[in-house]
Amino acid sequence: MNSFTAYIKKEYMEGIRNFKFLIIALGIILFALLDPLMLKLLPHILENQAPGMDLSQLANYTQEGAIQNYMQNLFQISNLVIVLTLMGLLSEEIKNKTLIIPYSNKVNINGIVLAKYIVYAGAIFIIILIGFLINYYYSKLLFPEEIINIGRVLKSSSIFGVYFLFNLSLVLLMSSLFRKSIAAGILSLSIIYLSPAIGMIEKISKFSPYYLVNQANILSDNYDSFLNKSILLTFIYIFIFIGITIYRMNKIELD
Amino acid sequence: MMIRAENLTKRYGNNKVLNGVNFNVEKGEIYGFLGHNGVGKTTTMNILAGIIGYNDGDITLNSLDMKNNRSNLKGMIGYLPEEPKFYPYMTSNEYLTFIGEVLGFNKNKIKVRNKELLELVKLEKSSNRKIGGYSRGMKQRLGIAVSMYNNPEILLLDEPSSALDPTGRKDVINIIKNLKNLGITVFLSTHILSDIERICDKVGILYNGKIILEEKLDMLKQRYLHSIYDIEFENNINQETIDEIKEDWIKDIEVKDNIMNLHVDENIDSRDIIALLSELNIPILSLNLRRSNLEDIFIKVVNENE
Ligand SMILES: Nc1ncnc2c1ncn2[C@@H]1O[C@H](COP(=O)(O)OP(=O)(O)OP(=O)(O)O)[C@@H](O)[C@H]1O
Ligand SMILES: [Mg+2]
Repeated sequence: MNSFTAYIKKEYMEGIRNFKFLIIALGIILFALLDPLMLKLLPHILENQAPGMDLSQLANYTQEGAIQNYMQNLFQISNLVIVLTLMGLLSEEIKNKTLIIPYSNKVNINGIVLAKYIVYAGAIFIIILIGFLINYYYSKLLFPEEIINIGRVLKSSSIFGVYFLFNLSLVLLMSSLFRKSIAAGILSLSIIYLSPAIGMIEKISKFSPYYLVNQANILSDNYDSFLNKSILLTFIYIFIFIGITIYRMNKIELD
Repeated sequence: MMIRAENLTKRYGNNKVLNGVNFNVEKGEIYGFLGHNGVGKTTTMNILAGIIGYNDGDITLNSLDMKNNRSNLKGMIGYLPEEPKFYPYMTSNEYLTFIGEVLGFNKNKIKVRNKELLELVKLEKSSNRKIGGYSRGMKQRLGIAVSMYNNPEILLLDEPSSALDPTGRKDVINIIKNLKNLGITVFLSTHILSDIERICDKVGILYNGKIILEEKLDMLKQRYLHSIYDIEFENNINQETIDEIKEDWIKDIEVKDNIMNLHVDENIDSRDIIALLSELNIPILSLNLRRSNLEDIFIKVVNENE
């Protein structure tokens, strides 16, 4: 418990002083503002480029469309930012030997791993929520015609949050396996970006955490009945990944 | 017996770094651990600190077996790694607080202990500066403070004075001397043999994966230390002259051109040498007394094992 609280404070300090929270916040919130604006401006830009074209086919010019665009960027770009920012979470500590002194001082290794996970899980979850709220109110401002119920957006935001919690556990695990953080990053990103391909196989798509991204995109009350099970399943994956990470960190040779 | 290693073996791939290492450190003893670069000193200390595992052999620390008590032992041991690494965005005060929290100390105890230790290693003035901006020597001092945080019964110090300026080295030596008065057992490796001569009770020399010599320092001095007279003759010395010298208090004669090094018993003084020289009846230019030191012993012992 002592190690856990000590590392909660340490990770919080590191997140602030090394600007990790800030970078993640930028990587998530920037598109909350940019996407609705782009969608609003797109017809005007295209009109000048290709007069007479039917633009309604190209995109969904509603608040719903703006929020869905945002989620697309969350998947494509925010994932990249989060992984690149956090890929060194353990590998840098292993490589830089900063764990040697704590390890020789009877630190509880489970506490280290859990503290790291919880600090960034909390940060990401809060930032995602803020991102969705900003996106919601800004797109409401730009597309006041058809307004979505905020409850749905909050629900999508939570589903997306759970999905990011899974990705965080994936990066943490990869980071414990490689001394080079870039290797951990590339492997995590490959898994994240290849998972939509798995989603195309009907039978197993529901068992992939990427299924949550699909469901969050629905933005209505027509969620698949499997959604709750999928969320539960994702939490099970997270527990397993954290478990393997803890096992690995207990076995590791630090020199 | 505070630290005992028996038949300790450690391999990295095919590289057998430690190949049956044995040593014994008694309670309150300061043990100097010597050896060439890359001989396995840091490896041994990492093993003792529970940072890495070993392939074979037995280690007991404070009568507790390492294999079954690895985590319990960590609380009893303070470790200064060869190059201590901290979180660079913390100040030394914050880092010490962090270690105090890991150890489960309460706020007040942490405050008191931080102050004590920062004073001890003379870092009070920089205690609120980021460690990232510290010099190597300052980090070394902080590392010493951290290693002592938990009032350990055993201190493992891997080259504690290597990055320090002369004052820093003197400070560290004094700190270690004080530890001795507190009954703390210190196991330290160093290249600076004069430090060992100043503080160690016992030395062990690691060579080729084994301890080739382990002895109390005073015994070692009695056995190996002796006076050396460097005599400079006017002309080159020939074999006849050397053959003439037969005194049994002479342990060794080395000759190079016109210089002769006479290794003699401790109780021989200059009068005996002058008497000897006058018997030889050849002109000399100078006569100098030198005492052999640990360095000579180290080189000699290693050469014997070459
Ligand atoms: N992680 C590792 N993987 C492979 N070989 C290693 C590893 N760590 C150390 N070695 C090897 O083990 C041997 C002993 O290294 P060690 O660092 O213990 O030496 P040392 O006596 O502390 O040297 P120095 O005086 O330079 O500090 C060296 O040959 C080194 O290359
Ligand atoms: Mg070393």
